[in-house]
Amino acid sequence: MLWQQCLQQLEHHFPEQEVNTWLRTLQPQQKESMLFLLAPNPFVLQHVHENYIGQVVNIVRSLTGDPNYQVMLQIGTADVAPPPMPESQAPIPQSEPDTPPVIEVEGAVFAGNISHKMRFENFIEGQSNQLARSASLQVSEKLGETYNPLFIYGGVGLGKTHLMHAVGNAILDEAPYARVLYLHSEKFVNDMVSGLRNNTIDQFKQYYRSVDALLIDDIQFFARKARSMEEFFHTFNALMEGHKQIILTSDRFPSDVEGIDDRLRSRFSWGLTVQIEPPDLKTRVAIVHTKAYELRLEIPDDVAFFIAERFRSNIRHLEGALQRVAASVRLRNQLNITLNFVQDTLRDQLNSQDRQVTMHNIKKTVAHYYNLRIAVLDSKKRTRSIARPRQLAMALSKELTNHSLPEIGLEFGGRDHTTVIHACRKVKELLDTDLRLREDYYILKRTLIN
Amino acid sequence: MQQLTLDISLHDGYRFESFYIHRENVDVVNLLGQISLNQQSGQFFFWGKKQVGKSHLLQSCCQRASAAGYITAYLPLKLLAKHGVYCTKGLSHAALIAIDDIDSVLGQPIWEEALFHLINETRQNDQTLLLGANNHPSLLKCKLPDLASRLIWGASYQIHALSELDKFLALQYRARQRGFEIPDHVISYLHNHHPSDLNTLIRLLNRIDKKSLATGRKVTIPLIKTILRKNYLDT
Repeated sequence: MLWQQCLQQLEHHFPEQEVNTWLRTLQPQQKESMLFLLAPNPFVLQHVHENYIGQVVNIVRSLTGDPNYQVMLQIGTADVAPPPMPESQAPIPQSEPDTPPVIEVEGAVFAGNISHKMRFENFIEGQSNQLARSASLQVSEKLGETYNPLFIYGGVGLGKTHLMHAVGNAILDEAPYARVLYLHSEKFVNDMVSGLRNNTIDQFKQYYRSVDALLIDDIQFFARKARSMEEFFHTFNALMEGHKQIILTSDRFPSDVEGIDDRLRSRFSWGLTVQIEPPDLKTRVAIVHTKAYELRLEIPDDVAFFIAERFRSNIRHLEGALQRVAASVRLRNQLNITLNFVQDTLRDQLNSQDRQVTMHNIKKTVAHYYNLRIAVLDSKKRTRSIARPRQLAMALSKELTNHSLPEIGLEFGGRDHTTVIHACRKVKELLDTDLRLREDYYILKRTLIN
Repeated sequence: MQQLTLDISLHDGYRFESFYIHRENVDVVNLLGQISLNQQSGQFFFWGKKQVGKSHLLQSCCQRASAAGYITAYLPLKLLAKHGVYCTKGLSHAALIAIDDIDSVLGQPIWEEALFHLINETRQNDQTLLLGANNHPSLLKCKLPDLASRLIWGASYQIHALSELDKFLALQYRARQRGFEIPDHVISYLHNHHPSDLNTLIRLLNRIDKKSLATGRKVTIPLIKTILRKNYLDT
């Protein structure tokens, strides 16, 4: 293909890093005696125009033997169809990358970005996400009637997005022509900016207000974007009035999301707000098995337990580890996935994790969180304001490090291992009864792991 | 009589073929080879110390994928950071995106948010995303938790550094690729008398290449001594 040949020659004229950075990213489209080079953004366009286009034109003309061959550089993307199509079939480029959303013809399937991979069937239920799953399921069965909006919040990588897509899929299973739209809050902002810039804001409004279910992820990214928030406020009201379903997610409780308009914040709490918490070990083991199955891996129980035990922070961490195992299985043609093989494969990840969470780090983080000096945690003082953080730090050390009970006791002012056992039991008991401590525990755990 | 040499670049190119493979990096290089031919999509993170070859491998991957007809985007953030986050926009057409030096922009909210959105987009578009940094993703100093969790999403691989001796063997390997030999005893001599920094070694290789071509001499210890003496005088 012409552009491939041109790139080969350009490698002799410019440093290879420049070719990789600025030229390989251009999307070629040939039409008659013309080569369109589509740049992904104005930044690349300007740089290529200023530094390389003259040489590109020379090489193209020399390769085609046509001194009048035209090279057009413009911003845009065409449909991606690698490997390259025959030149005669190459489509004409679209000039604008940020064209406003298109309203589909009635009766056509609505393209709403719902991932078919994320369904209720492969969402692993556990104590940590039971309520959120059950609420989502109810919402998908009675659209706009049960909990509206449904607000799901929780730390990163715990399954909020999965639940949203699961609702979307469940709706589409029942009504394939339903207009279910999933998007990240950033996309809403970009579409609005594009609508304003291209004078198509009415189309934008019509598009977003015509859906049956609007699923917006990570609404905390609306923070401090006044115009976007205002537009979303009106969209929200229009959808609610039309009894359309809204599902929102965020990394924190609605009232804790900073930089969000009060009117919006209060509306977020109109329906049901549910939290997703980090999964417990049993749930993590089940997740490992499910993800392994999706990757076509047969994982024995001891390996699943090992991975679930060592990768605790969130589901993405587990997924990353499993993908690494899957890649190694393929590369080394490994037939049986044994514990030794997995330990060897994940060696550097495990090392870095061990380096990350140390007992000293735990003590430092807990002390900072409760505004105490680290030394106090090692002291003999037993007042509750000190004993409780100490117990928390001990329980976290047991959970997040591989140190033994005597080692943990030793680290906390030379205490006996039975004291550590007592601390762990006490914290476990309080996690079920003391909401404040429960929140502290999860915040600390998240801080330490991430 | 000295032969006039053509003024050609002695750059070996960012190619898999010119990468000396340390035994601990075999899996990583094989994996990247597969990725470059689009046999594997998803997100992959490559980390390692300075000069272990991260940029070389990421660019090799882009070069091979591009030669196979795929659109690729290589973003060396250390160089691009000063121009703002525009370079991360509009990349949905690229089959393969390689973002190098992630660590150089972490801590800057605008960059962290831009990377977060880029990762989300690549997931949604089923693109292949390669990320390179100087440390394991979970140890990077990332302020935005949403980004931190996405950095650890895919499989992560360490690119291991070459041992001191391996660096000299890498020099010998590259010389062979250029079509001339550096005998073992010369490598041994260099190992004892020359700094093992890879960039310096590549500069030395360029000098050896030019000198042996110009004089028509084989690479011997006396030739090396002459080059090193001249090197010293030049500096």
